[in-house]
Amino acid sequence: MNRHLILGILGLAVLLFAALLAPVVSPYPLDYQENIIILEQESGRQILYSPHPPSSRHPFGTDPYGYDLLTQILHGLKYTLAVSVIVSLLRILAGSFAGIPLGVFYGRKRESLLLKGLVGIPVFLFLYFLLFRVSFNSPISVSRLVILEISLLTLFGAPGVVESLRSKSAAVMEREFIEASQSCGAGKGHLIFRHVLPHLREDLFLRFITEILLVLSLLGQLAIFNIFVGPTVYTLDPPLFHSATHEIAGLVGQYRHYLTNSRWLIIFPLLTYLFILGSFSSLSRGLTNLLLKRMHAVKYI
Amino acid sequence: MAGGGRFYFNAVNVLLGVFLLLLSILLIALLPELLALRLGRVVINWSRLVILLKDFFLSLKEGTFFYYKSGLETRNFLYSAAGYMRTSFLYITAAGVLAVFLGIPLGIKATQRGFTAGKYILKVINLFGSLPDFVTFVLLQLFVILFNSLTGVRLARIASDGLNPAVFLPLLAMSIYPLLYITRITALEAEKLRGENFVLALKGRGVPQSRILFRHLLPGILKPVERDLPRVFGIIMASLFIAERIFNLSGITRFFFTYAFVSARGIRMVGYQYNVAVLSLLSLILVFLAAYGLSLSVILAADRILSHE
Repeated sequence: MNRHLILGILGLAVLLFAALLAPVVSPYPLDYQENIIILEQESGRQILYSPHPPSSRHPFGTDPYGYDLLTQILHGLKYTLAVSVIVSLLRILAGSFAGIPLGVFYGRKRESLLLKGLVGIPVFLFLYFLLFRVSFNSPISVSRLVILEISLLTLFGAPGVVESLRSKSAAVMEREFIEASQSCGAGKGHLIFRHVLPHLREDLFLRFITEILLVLSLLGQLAIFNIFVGPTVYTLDPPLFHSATHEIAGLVGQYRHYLTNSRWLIIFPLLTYLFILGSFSSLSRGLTNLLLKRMHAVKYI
Repeated sequence: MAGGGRFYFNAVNVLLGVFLLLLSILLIALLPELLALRLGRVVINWSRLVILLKDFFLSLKEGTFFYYKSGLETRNFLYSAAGYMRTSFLYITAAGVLAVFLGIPLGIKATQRGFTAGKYILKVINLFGSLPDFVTFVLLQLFVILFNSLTGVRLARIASDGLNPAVFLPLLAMSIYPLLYITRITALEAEKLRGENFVLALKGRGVPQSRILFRHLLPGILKPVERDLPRVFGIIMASLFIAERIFNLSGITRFFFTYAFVSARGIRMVGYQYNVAVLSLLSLILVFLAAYGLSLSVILAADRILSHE
């Protein structure tokens, strides 16, 4: 039994269900605020001010303004999943459309020293630079900003995927069956569609999940520097940064200072983020195991 | 003559490389002003880039390139940057040295014959390696705080304040990822070398295990570590930004984010000091080269001593 694959699929099903049904399953509407709770007890009236710790009323507690944290997480999930999946899909598409023909037509690329040197600069820094002028209190709509972010995340990750798929398809091109096929008169197009692509199918899927994990990591790194998916709401007095979309990595970055007080604010987003990472990692491991198993089961006739 | 020609060719290559690197930094530092919002739309702000470059060359001519604004004050980068660079250099070098000197023994031990715990050590290492750096850093901080609230024992300072620097936790955090990398490559190399025929021959001649390990295996294991050292430092540099942010360290990346991007008067981040960005990125490369050079010399010295050259 492939335990990893089952756990991965189950985890992702739960996440997808929660993300799609967020408006229905959330305990409160997103704009419901409860900064003061008045409790009538036998000992008398008790007034509680936000942030409220986890309770039956607010299972994950509330933020300092009294907004329910579980509701925020459920509503933010769709952004985390959508952005990471769409960006990875676009990177893989770019990789397939550019990397595979490059590998088939031109073979492996020689390493450039300058590029190697620049690889030392973390990718999130480029993204921070480009989003710096447009993210903070952005007047443009959430969807347009998210599309811009998706484009930039794709742009900065695609070259890596193109390069990797180029070298992988170049490696396939060095195999004997390609030579045999070529000597039978096969053209490059035939080689791409009938030999290289089928050979890279599993690789593409695994790379897709790896890219999702990389994008999730990038979103978190950007969030540590207050660039969230969607606009960053920035107030000057006090100087605070909020994620307008409540995307999960953004919540981790936003609440990372709550280590000593109101700890639930960092713990629940962090656990959700780890759950997302765990589900994708598990799926990736499960698929790898499945592929390894398949590769061993060679049928000769 | 041929040697002289090669030297000349190398010198040209190095100069060309330095020129291209400087040019790339100048261009990368322009990126924050590339996009702008105008009438609710995102546009490419070419005119601003031209102004930035004009001002840059003008400041070089007038000798004001090293001056930057800090609030209402004007400061000189050459006076203020040394402290920030020193902090980054110390953390990077210490993390690198820690990673090398813990990673190599750990990698060797994990592959020892009959040492069953080795497999699990490598598994745990791989598990940590799959987490993003910022998650590990926040988890470490949370662990220290929860441990403190449960036992009353303070294991480490979770972040620097103005007077007291956090040392242990940032170092641990920054050395985890390079440590994982070095342990992995050491284990891979050690696994291969342990099965070589010359090891069996030495064992057959009655050479003690420790001698085989130190005199014959270790020099072979140090080679891939030496080869991959730029990559190891690349990993440390990538996490330096996050570490300095999360642990509040006064390093060069913190200087960069504090002074290159200026927030003032309200709603949006308003200012960008191009020269601070260029100088910080250059300083970062210098810090990288210094830390890498120092660590490489330590490894080369160890290699020479072990090989009795």
